[in-house]
Amino acid sequence: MAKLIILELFIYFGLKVLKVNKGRNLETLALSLLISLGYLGFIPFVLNEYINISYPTSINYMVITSILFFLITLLLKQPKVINKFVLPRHLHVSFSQCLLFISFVLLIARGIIMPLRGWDAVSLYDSRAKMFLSGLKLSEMKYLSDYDDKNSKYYFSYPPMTSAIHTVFYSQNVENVMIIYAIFYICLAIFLYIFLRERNIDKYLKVGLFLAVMLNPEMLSLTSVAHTNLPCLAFQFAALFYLLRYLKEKSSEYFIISAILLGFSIWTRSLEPIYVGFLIGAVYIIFRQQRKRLLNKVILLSIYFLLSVGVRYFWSYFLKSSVGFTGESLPTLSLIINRFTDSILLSNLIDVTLFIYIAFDRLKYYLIFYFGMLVIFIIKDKKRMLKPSSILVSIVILSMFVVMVLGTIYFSVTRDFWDKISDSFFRSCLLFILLFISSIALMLDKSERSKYEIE
Amino acid sequence: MRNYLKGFKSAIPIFLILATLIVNLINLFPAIRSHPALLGLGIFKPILKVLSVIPILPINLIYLFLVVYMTKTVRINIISKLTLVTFYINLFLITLLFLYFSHLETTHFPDFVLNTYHIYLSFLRSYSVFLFIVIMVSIEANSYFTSRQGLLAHVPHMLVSLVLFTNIFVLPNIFIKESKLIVKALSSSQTDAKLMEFGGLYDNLMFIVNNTEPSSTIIHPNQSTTFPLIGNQPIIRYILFPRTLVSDELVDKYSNANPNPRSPIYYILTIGYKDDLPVFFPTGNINAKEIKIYVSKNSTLNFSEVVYNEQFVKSLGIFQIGLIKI
Repeated sequence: MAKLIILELFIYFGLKVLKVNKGRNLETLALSLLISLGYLGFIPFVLNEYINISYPTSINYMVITSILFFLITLLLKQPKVINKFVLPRHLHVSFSQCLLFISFVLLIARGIIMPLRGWDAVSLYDSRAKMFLSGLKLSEMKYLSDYDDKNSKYYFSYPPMTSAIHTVFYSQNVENVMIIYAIFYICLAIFLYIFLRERNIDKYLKVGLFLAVMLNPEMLSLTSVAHTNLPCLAFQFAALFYLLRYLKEKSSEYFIISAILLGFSIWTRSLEPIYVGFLIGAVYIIFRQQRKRLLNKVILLSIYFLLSVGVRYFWSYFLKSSVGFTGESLPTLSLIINRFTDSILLSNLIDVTLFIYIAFDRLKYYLIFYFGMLVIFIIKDKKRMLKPSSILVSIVILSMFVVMVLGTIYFSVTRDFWDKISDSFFRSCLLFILLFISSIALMLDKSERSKYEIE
Repeated sequence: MRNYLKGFKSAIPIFLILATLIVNLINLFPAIRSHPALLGLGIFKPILKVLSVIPILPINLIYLFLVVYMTKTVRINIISKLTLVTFYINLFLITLLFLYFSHLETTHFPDFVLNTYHIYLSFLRSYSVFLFIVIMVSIEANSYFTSRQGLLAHVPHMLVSLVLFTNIFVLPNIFIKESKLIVKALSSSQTDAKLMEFGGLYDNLMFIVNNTEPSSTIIHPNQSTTFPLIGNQPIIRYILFPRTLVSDELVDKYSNANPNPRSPIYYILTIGYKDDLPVFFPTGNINAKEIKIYVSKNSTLNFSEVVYNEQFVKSLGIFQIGLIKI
């Protein structure tokens, strides 16, 4: 446990010295937590698979690198910042922050008390963690399904982000892994809180929007199961948060942080290509900056693609090299075209529409909210919809919708159990709630209007 | 003409009362349409049925427009105030009723409320949402026409409170469920709490772990609706790892690949249910070196050098799980 806390603290103080987020405490805390967790879910796995370093040993290397990271940041920046970051001078804690803090403590306590839950968690994520801990590598797990009639290559259906984090926690004698999901939920809440706090809208509305996301029953239920949806959601929303921050403050570090967080989200769930929307959004942001030189734009975008999509290719490469297949979610173009011609049958399309309609039924009040607001903006104030930040979120919403619909059509012809995974489909759609609420908040924000329109 | 208009305007409140009554009835009716008490309605029942067959949505929308129009022209008077107060009381009662019923439903079985009280819960919820919308619309319309702040100052509040209100239907149940689970997790030991959502599976699998060597091979039933848990290899591997697990269908493949196995081989002895009839696994005759049966926490049965068959299982009576060493 101590090593995990040391790792987190050094990453936190490193980010603090680097003055990421301009040194703001809450934001830096959430970011450092997400980066530490993502780091724990990626590096130990690579070390174990390729250099044979076991998970309990790799945590030592990671603590050392986090200390090194901190020392390097100290060398890079002036030492005089040291006395600044140790304790914040003016600690303003508002009433809302107190409430947030209390609910965080309750969430953490619940995480400590509750045992591991969730069907997939038992069969896949935590199962892999237990096997990692016993010294088995992921590449060796292909032999496990040799005599299984139904679940061949089951252990390769998702990248091992949460499994690796569980393993590291177990190796440090932390048995209550549900605490990880409480932390992810807290990070999500902090980013949403900061995002809404920065908007110039009525404060009651802010509280309403915040609660509309955080008290959504489906969102809350994600904290009680050890599935990958919540971590993925937290990484994705944080990635969007930093893309918006980059749009506002034009500092490249936010762009890179966004790419890293998106990469982590892909390392958590690679099956749904929701990241496509973020990539299109990143291209949009970069190319609307007229003052930047083309070379700079290309370099920044290459870094973004390398850090995010690179993870996707690394996972495919791993599957190909160790298991011998690329994962069914990455079919060839000719196969996709072939399948789509099969799927454009009226009966199939009706089935798919019905399936999506039923899944979205649970989101209907959020849909009414979002589209109701869109209608009002179209009638009253079209300019608000054309703010760059609103366009960015709309791009993500639209491309996510297209991905979900096309994905369902594709699955409807490739898998026979596709219409039985309505719940799973819905859980993947939960990002819509966050996107709708942030889109509404951005459109309602009065301050951003003229400031960032002309560059 | 003016007098005519004036007469029309003065008739609006009465029209509103009538419309309110009808709209409430139409919205409530789908929820209680199967109630035996409605049989006494006689001729009115088919009329209400027809009204509830016509989509409720347009009627409700017209009513909402009426509320807005009423607020614009008449402003607040005693009748509209009274109507609003009845809506408040109605909303409070219906929502409370819904929460009580949905609590009953989760503690009993699905459709418990429909079977016992003849009430359709989903329609009761829609009715409650409708009441809430009417209240929100009348409040916001009133402040809109008095403050003239523009739609954007009112609509977001209205819609976000609608979203929050609809979450209220589910949240109390979640909190009750969660607090029960927390109490259970706190009162039971760490091992008892493991796999708590899979019933007694953890104890059964621990019996296998305690009675087999880590290097052994274990044959389990194929994954099916008859054996959903014990046939699911990834689920049982969670506890049984590092034992080699073999689905019944692939036993031949295993024995071809391992003609002279060094480690012992076991069959899991278990009962599944197909169309409410018990199905035993394994089937057929097996010459067993040893059979161990887990009856309960305090009782196990041991047999050695016996022939396993269906008669043997039936003679065992009730048990949790067993192991057959071959």
